[in-house]
Amino acid sequence: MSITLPTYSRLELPLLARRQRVWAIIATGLRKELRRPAAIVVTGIGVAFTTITSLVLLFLSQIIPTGQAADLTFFAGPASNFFVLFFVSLMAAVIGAGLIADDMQSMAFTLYLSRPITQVDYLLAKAAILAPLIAMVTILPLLLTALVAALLGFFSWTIALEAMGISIVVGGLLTLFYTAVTLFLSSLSRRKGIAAAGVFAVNFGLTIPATVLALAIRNDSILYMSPWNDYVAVASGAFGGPSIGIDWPVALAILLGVTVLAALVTYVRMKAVEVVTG
Amino acid sequence: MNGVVDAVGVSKWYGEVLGLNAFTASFGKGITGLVGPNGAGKSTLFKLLIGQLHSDQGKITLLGENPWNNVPLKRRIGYCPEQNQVYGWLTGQRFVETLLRLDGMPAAQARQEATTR
Repeated sequence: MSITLPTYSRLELPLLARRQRVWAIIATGLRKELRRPAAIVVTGIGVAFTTITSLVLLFLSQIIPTGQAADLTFFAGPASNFFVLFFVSLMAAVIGAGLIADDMQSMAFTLYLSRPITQVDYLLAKAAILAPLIAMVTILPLLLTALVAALLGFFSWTIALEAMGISIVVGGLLTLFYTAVTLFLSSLSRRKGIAAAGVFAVNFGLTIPATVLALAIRNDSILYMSPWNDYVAVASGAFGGPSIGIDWPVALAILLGVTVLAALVTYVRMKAVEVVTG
Repeated sequence: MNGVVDAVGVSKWYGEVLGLNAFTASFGKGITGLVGPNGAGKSTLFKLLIGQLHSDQGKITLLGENPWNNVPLKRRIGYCPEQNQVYGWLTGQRFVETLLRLDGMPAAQARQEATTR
């Protein structure tokens, strides 16, 4: 008996740029998130709440005479809006925590790495999925507030445009911080619940005790422990607002340092990660 | 050795568990089947070959190249993982389309290829 081997032809195509392969992961990841009601609800409510509260602050400053000058210092208030912290935490937990952990759990990671994709490509794509979603809470409300303020004539266009520029830089810093930290936490375990708990621990687990302790022992240096207070100090410094008791250059250095460290550790970790299954 | 697959003294440990023990072989062109009991190291060998695992000892090459983090090489091979799960919501067509796009095919062409072939 003879065996006839099947014949087949292979479709040979040139390998397109890395950017396009990374974009394929981003598109698949975004489609996945946009199918999850939790992700849509958290993003929608987050954008609405942070924007509305910023606009309410804007209108209140015009209605109630608080002695607030019509200059850049006003924007330190909306930038320090507590809803930003709350919804950034929620978005990082609901969307970011599962970005890598879910792929490890579902074996999608195995499939990605069997294609012409490196671990670094994969990580970049995941960051590109999370960062714009977080920016919708950290940057967009501030931009809209400055825009509305200029359109309604509450502030001059010069001040509004300057506020928009600073908002992009300051909001971008917060976005990068949470993207790097969340992806680091997500890469640690196959269970996204652990990463989500980590996000809340980094935010509220440090912010609330640091604030209480700083008040109790009357030492503001404790506030450096809290990423949120570091961010508020930087935002206040950038907009020329009142000091919260800690120096903004030191707070900036801490935020940047943690962001770079988290990104670096995740990069090294992902570069060396092996697919161990079954 | 100049086979499609060349392995010389390749070993892989999962912690304290030995996944592959000093494996040496050379596979040429044509069909090669791997047969062995559970735990023999078949899956480990495949994962080493496609660069999903890094060997702890020895040298392994596929088509003459080191497979670890070798993107151009992955473009030249096909691999069907034993646990082939991606996202439950992907239809069969979308799944194929996604794989083609991950291979670097433009979106429109990937959609057409996944639909017509």
